[in-house]
Amino acid sequence: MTSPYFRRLAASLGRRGLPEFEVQRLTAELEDHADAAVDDFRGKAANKALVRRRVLRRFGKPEEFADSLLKAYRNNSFLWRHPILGFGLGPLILLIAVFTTPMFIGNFIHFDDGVSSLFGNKVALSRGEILGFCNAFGAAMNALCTGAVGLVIYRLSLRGKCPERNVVWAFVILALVGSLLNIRFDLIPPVSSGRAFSFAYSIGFGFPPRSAMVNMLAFLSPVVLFLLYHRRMIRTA
Amino acid sequence: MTRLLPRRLRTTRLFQQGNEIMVSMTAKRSNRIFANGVPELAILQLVSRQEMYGYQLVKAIDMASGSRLVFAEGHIYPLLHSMEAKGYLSCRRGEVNGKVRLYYRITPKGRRKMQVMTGEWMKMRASIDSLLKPSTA
Repeated sequence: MTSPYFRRLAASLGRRGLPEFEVQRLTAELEDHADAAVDDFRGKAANKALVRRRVLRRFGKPEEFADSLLKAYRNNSFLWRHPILGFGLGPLILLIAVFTTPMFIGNFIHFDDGVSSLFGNKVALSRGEILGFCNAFGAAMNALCTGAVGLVIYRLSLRGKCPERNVVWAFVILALVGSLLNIRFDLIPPVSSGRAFSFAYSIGFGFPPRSAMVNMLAFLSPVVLFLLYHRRMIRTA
Repeated sequence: MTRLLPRRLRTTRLFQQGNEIMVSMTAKRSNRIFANGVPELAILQLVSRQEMYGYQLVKAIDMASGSRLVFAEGHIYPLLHSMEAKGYLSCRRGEVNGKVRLYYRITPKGRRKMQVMTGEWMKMRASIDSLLKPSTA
């Protein structure tokens, strides 16, 4: 970026929250646009500086132009228009939806039928071993669910070119709430005849009854995703 | 000519100024198909013929519409980036006089979108045409 006009424009866009990679790309394209327009009009007017001034006058003042560019981003992206819904409430709603979905799916596919036949008929395992499996499965689900929501936010934020500070908030909420939400599978007496046992799927909120290390996974997955987002932004810039 | 446009349309993104239809960024969010779809449809149509960079696109729209459609620079680039993010366009970096220039081309998803939007536009046009026809009764 050589022109002071585009340096001012880049600074204004950065102050208004546009991510660095998008600022650089946009200003580079606009500068190329201005150069192409100058080359195009040079045949008609001899003075290159005059033509350039005219082209930049068409853009308007850098600050006003930055405002109008941001309006276009807002018009194109839901997350830009509704940051509180997108980055505050959105992750919470998604987390609850993702954590409760297995409950409904489990009811439909008769998860406990399948698992009880696996453990009850084919493999001889002690009750303790099955409980160990339940714990591990619940923990994996915890991390997976939080990671899945993080991935959705990561993709949407990249797509919407959203301000980085909003993305930070979304991942902080996700890491804290995701690590405090707990999925738990328990063995319960069979709910219908012909089964060795049944499963109870429950969701809790608070410090986990199991090892805190397990919930660290749920905490770390949004952190890792945010670092990936940040790295991608730096690399793209 | 301005009077031909309905009052609501004059206040939306697509409005008329002199002999030009400007695509503005300050207008209210209404008439989505009619107003918001126009820039996307124009871009998709043009880049489906050949890959283009920003200035070339603005100029091509200007020429194809006989200077009636004028796309503001502040609108076209964020829109191009958004369309790329949605997968309708792909972007290639080229170099001209030691500077990077980005060329856009349509993707298969963009081509499908273009067909849908063209169909919607044709239907809209047919309905407006039938409305404008003098009544025989």
